Amino acid sequence: MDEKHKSVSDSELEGRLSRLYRSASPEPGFARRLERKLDERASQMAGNQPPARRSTWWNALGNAARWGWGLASMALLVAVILFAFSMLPGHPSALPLIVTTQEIALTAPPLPQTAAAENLTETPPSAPSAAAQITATIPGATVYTVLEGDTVLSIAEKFGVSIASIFELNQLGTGDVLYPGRQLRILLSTPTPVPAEPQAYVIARNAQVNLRAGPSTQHDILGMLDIGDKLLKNGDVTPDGWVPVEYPQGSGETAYVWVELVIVLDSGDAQQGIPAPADWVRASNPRTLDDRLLVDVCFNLIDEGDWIVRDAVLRLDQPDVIPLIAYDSSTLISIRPFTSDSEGAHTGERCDVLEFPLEPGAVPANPVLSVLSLEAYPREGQDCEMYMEKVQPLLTARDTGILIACEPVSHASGNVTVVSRPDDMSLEAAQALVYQAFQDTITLRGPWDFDLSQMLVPGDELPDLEEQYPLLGELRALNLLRSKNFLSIPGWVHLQYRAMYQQSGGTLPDGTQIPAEYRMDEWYELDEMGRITRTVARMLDLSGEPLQVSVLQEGEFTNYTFEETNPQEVFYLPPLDFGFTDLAENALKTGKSFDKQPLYVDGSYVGDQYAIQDDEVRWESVYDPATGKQLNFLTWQVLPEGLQLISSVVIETLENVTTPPAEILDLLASEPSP
Amino acid sequence: MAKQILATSTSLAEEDEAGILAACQADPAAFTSLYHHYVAAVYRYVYFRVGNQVEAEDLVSQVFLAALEGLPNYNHRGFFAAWLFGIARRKVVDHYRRARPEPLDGLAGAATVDPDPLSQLIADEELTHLSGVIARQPEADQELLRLRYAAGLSFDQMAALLRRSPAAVKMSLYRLLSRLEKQLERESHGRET
Repeated sequence: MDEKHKSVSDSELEGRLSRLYRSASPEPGFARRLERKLDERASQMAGNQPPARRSTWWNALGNAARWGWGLASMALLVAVILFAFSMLPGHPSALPLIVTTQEIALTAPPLPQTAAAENLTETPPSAPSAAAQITATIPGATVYTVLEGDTVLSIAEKFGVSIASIFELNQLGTGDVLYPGRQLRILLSTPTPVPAEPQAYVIARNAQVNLRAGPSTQHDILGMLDIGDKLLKNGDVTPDGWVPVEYPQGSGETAYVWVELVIVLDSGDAQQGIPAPADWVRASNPRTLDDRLLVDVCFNLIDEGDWIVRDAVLRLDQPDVIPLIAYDSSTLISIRPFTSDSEGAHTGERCDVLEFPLEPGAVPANPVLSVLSLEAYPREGQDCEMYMEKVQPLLTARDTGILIACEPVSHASGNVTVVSRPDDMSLEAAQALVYQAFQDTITLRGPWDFDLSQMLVPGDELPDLEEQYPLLGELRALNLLRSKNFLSIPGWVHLQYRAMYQQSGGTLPDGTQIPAEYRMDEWYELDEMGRITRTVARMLDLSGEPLQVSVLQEGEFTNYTFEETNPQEVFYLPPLDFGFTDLAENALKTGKSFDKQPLYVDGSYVGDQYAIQDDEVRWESVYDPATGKQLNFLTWQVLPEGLQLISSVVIETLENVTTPPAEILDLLASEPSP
Repeated sequence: MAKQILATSTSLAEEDEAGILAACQADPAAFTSLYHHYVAAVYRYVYFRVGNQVEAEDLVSQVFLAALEGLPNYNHRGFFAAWLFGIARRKVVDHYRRARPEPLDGLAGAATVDPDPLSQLIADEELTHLSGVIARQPEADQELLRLRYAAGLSFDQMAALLRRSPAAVKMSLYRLLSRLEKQLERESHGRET
């Protein structure tokens, strides 16, 4: 190569990249506006400091997460079966096998007019005058021309009216024959409008949703919806995805919005997506922060797709407004990737915080969270893969007779075309079926309802107990302090301690006795939210020989020594206080005594010793008050002749580390050793 | 206090950052100084993901509001920038998945994304050429470039964000740079002959 062409050196290229990527900057006006907004928010927060959520979550772990008893306690944390059924990943056609218990309609059943309107097209030319005549005398009545195969029952069902009303209105006798072409008068029952619970809403899920004069982008824009704006639905969604809504509200006029930009709350439409089991989604820790309600929502992952909560609404017990709020912000808090093993067992979970805007100053009245659907939209550039690998099989399984092809367009979305379709099917109909199959492929449907008012723990319980027992408050503060000083995130936490049990600490999985004294060497990797992503735990005898070694990664807890593997649900790093704070709280609740005194070793002060005493046992834990570091945890048997040591845990190391040493990393197969 | 900030680094000196974070956790109003420090970098990063000013501004607002509200739960270990850009990444991803444009043609679901937000801003021919080459790289590689040059993250920060080792991130980036270099050379050669 000519020397002058070798012009792009590393540093020069980096210089160019820097210039390129620094060519955008925020407008000063925007930066100032945002700063004001943040200031406002900050002052709201300062006036209403949120509770220390982390400690609440950790407390909520309860006894199951009682920490630090080496592998015995790890075993307690293990083995939550996430998937009670199995299915082939990536094959949506297998999805309908899911047993569903949650197909509860959110709103009332569809209006009978829907069926009636369709059938009026069957009315022969002479009918309009008859219909007009009848409706003039009997409001609400219409005319139906009997088709071949109709029965009074089928007609009654079609219109949602009683058989008796058809007999009565048409003066039919039991001997009368319904021949095709006969005209029947049908008195449609007028549905009583219930203002508090209208039939169907549309809620904007985006800012700037266009309201169009007709069902396509060719029509004029009549107005615009902002995120969370609500309108009444005003008819059926068109096959190519336009939703008629009443606009302006109360006018009876119709405008159209694109279905993907809104949440449609109406059981009358054929719903998109495959129903999923009732326990697929979990909600926890609802809390209010000024004018927002936040709730943690976790759901199982069904495949390696990019699943998110598509639609979720908060329903409030408020009579005077449309009592629905769509979430306007979500933040991922943890993800345990989808994995499947050779036996077809799946794990994987994603958790997000969903945020719902509340009316300023309003207290949410009996909030119920409805998670309506989950969605895995194809990743950028993977549209074709999705269409060919998932949508086509579904079209085939549905006997549509449609074949599709997909051309990648640039590096963005694919361009899907219908290659062949049955002779009697229009292109539009085929496209609508493809669209439906695509939506079904990417959507899991609930709803999953959670009564948040039941889950909101009365907030005054904790302060009361702490007020009564300041020492408990101190312990909690020490936990918090420690979590700030040592157990901070993300990164690795290293815990090393020497344990001694007067009576043997149990047996290993092969039946061997665990020695009375041993060392634990534990490593925890934490994500940004304090969730444990990987661990290595080694139980060593006092000479440093491993007794057993186990590893948690990718949702599985594996004991290498005894070759056992179990799925492990995502969990937070507990306070690493060996359960002492929980013990203290329980003791206090049952009226046990609890005290604190400074501890001196060889005449020098080492920390504060907190002790709980009941009739039989005395628990002691020593903390460094400056850092919150726990130094030891002792248990004594209370005997007439004095105290006898039952167990002791002496903490040798408790700190953050950037990277564990190579011997630890080597145990984590996926981590290359440096 | 010694401030050894690399030319490309967005991070504050570590002691400063720890101090500011502690202040924020005690009083959210102290967030302003963090905001000032990071707003341009977050904006650049988001802008080059979404390719338009209106959406970038909306997302940047969301990122800082989420960071402000998440701060009481954030524990500092020198990776504030990684945490902040983690929020930014998720907001952008969620934005793409939630916000879809109206359909452009009969068959729905064909959302289009601006293929090359970089090219809109620049007049410099050399840079236009470079942005064209970048636009053809896989998304993961483009993300590396954005994190490094738009967000100005250090390798340690990128590693924390991408959950890989700093050495691996460094290696990927340098491989990418040498690939870009080769492609640029090849093309400039091609243009001249």
